[in-house]
Amino acid sequence: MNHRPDAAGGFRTWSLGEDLEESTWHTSGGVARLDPTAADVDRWLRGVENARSGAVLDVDRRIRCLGRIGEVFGDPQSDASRRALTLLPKNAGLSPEMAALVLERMASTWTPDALARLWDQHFLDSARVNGGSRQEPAGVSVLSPQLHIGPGSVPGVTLTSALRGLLLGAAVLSKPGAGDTVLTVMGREILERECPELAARWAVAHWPGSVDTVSTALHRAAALVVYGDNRTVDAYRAAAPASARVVEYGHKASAAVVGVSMADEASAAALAGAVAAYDRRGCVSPQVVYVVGGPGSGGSALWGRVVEWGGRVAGELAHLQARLPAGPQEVGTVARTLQTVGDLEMRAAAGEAVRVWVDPASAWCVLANGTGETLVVPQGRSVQIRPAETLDDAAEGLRSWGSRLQSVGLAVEGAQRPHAAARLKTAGALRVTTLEEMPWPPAWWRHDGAGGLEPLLVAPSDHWVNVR
Amino acid sequence: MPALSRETPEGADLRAELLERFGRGLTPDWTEREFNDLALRVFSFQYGAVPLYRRFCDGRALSPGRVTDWTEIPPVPTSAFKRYAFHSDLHAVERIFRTSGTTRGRDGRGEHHVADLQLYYASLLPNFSARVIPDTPEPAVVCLLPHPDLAPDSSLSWMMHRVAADVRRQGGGFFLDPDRGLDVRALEAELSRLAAEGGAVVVAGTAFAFVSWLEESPSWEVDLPSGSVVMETGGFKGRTREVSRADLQAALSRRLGLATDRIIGEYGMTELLSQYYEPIRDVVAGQRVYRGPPWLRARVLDPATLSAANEGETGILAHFDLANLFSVSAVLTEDLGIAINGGFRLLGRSAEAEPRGCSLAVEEIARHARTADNHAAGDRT
Repeated sequence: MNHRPDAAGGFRTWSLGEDLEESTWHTSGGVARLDPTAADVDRWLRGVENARSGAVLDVDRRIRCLGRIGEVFGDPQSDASRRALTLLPKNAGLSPEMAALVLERMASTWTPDALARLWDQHFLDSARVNGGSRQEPAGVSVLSPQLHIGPGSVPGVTLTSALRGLLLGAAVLSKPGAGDTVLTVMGREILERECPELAARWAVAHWPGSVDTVSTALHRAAALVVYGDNRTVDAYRAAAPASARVVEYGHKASAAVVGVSMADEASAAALAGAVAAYDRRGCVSPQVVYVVGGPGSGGSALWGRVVEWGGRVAGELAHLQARLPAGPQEVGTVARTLQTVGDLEMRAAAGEAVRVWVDPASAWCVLANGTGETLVVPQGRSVQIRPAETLDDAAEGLRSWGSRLQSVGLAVEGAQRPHAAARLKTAGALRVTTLEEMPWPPAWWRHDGAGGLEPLLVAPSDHWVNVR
Repeated sequence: MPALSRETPEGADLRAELLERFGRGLTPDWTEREFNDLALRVFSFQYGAVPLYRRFCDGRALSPGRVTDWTEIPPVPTSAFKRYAFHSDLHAVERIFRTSGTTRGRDGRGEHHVADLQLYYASLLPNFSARVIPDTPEPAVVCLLPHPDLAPDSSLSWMMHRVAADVRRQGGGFFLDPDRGLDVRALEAELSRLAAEGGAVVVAGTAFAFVSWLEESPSWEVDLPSGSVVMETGGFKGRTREVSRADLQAALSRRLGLATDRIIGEYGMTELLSQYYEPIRDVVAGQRVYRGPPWLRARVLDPATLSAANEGETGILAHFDLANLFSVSAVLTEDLGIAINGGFRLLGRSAEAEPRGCSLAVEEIARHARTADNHAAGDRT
C-alpha cells in the first residue's frame, strides 16, 4: 500500500504495490503517483529534520544500520532481494538477468564494510586507528536536511546518494527517478525494519514533473543533491535559494583507451561487459574506445586491428545477449536504431572507413570508426571503436569532450599505465580504471571528481553561498 | 555517354510493364504473387543499376539470387537519403525532390533523385482518383501549398499540380508562398466563389497549413458543395504547435461545412513516388485506414523481431514502392503504425525516446561542435 503523509506533518515511506498493473500505480514504475505541493515537500523536509533531532546515533551504529541494506539486498535468499528482483526489471526496464547483476553489484557498495571504508577514507582518525569507535568529523557539520533528486533510470543511484547523507547523520528526502523507485523505496523499508530511528530521518517520494511545483519548498533544504540531464540540473540550481548548497551530478560520458597489444579476447570481453552493464545507461559505461597503435602505427595495419578487435567485441556482446540480455526497448527507440544502423551501413557501402556489427534484434551494435569524426551510434549497448596512432591522439580526442568526460577505462601494458593515466587526467578524465571495473565504481569513489561525503559538509568558516 | 539504365532491356521492359499496369488502375487488386514477382525483378534491376545500393545489400549478404520474397529485400533508411543520392542514372535525373527539413534545419534535408517523372505521374493519378475523388470526377483543386514554380523541390506541390491539371475545372490554385505564408484573403475568396458556383472542391494541404489558416481567420466559414473533400497530410513534425487530428478535423468541418467523414488523410514521403490514402469510401463507412495502390506495399515491423507485427500492434513502417524503379523501392521509415485490416493506421513519427540514464550520448558532445546534423528526420515538402 502507499500512504500519503498524514496531515500532522509526519511522513511515511512510499511503498510498492505488488500488482504493478493497478491503475493507482504509476505506469512506468510501480510507485504511487503523487502530485505534491510545495507545502507537502516542505512538510516532509521538516518531518525528517525533526526526526533527526530526536535520536542520537553514533557513527558506527549508523554504519551498521545502513549497511544492513546492502546485506539484505546482497543475500539472494532474503525476501527483500527476491522481491526486488521481481519488481526491478519492469521498474528499471532491465532484463531480469541484468537486474540481478545490478542488484548484486550495487548491494556490495551498501554493506557495512563498504560504508565503513567510505567513511574511513574521509575521516580516519586517531581514535579509530587505535581501535576505538569512529568519531564525528571535527570542525565540520553536515548539511541537513537534504533533498536528493535521483536520475531517471539508473537503479541504485538514488539509494547510494541517500546513504551518503544518512551516513553523515543528515536527514534526507529522496525523490528517485521513475526508473529507480524500487531499490530506493525498498531500501527505506529495510532500514525501517532494522533501525526505525534512523529510518525516521529518511523519506522517499516519487512524483512526476519538474522543480517548478515544489520550488518554494527548497528553502527548507540545506543541500540539494541533483542527478540528471543539464535541463534538470539547471532548473534546480536556478530554483535553489542562496542558503542551499547544490551538489550537481549532470550527464557525463565515458570512454576507454586500449593499447593495440592488449586488444585481445580478454579485453574484448571486458569491454563488452562494461558496455552491457545497465544497458549502457550509466555515465561510467564507455561509448568510445580508442585503440592506440603506437607512433608510426597509423594507416591500414592499425585499422585492420581495430576491425578485427571490433568483431571480437561484437562476438562478446552477442554472447552476453544470450546470458545477460538487454532490456526491452521502446518501439520509437528501435525505429531510431534502425535508421542509425542503416545509415552506418550505408557509409560502409559508400567506401567510408566504417564497419558495423549489429544484433538482429537491435539489442547491441559495435562500430569500427576510422572516419576521424565521432559518429552516431544507437542508444543502449552500443560502442564505437576508433584508431589512434598515439596516446596523445586519444587524449586530445577526449579533451574535446570538456567537462562532460567522466571515466576512462584503460588497458595498456603495465609499465605504461602510470604515464597513460596521468595523460588522461590532463585530458580531463575524472576517473581512470580498468575496463572491467568501469561500470561498477566502489562506494568510496570520487564521483565526478568530488568526494562522496565532502560536498555534504560545511565548516563554520564557510560562507553560506550557493556553490556550484 | 553510357546507356541509360532505363534504356537497357531490363529497365525498359520493367518501365513499360509498370506504366501499363499503373494505367489499369487499382482494380482488380494484385495478388501477392504478382506483386512479389515484380518486386523481385525491380530489386534485381536496382541491385545492378544503383551501385551504392548494391554494396549496401552486399554488406547484408543479400542479393537477387538470395532473396525469394520481397519482404527480404533490404530497405534503405530514410536517413540515408540525407547523405546519399540513390539513382540509376545520374545524368538522367529529371527532378530532385527534397524533404522539408523542418525537424532539424535545412542541412538535414533528404533528397530523392527522380529519373522518370512519368512513372510518378502514372502512379499518382489513378490512386488519387480512386481514393480521393471516386465519386467526384471534376472537382476544383484548392491547395494550401506553394505552386511548384515557387517550390520546385516539393514533391507534394508537384503532385498536386499534376492532379489539378488533370482533374480540375476552372478555378482553384495554390495559396501558400514559401516566404510570405498563406494568402488567406485570396484563399477564402476563391473558396467562396467556388461554393457559389456549386461544383465540388478538393482542398489539400498540410495539417500545419490548415492550423495556420484556422488561427489566422478564426471566424471565417463557408459551405462547400456536396462531394467536396479535404485532403490533409504532413502532420506537425518540427513545428512549434500541434493540434490533435480530431480537433483539426472538427475545426475544418465547421469551417468548410463538411462532415468530418469528408476529411481524409494522405501519407506520402519524398522518398516514395506513390502515396497512401484513407480512402474516402472507407472513411464514409467509418473506417480510417491508410491504403496504397497495388504497386505500393507497407510492412509494419515488430520492434522486437523486425518481422511483421501482429494485427493491431504498433510497429515500424517500411515500404516497397514499385514506382521508385529508378532509385530504390524498399524504404525504411522512422514512422510508427498499426497494421489493421490490410492497411495501417498511422501513428506518425515517434518523438525519439529520451536517452535513458545519466549517460550523455557522445554524439551530443560532438553535435555541440557541429551545426550540421546528418541524422535529421525527413519530412515531405
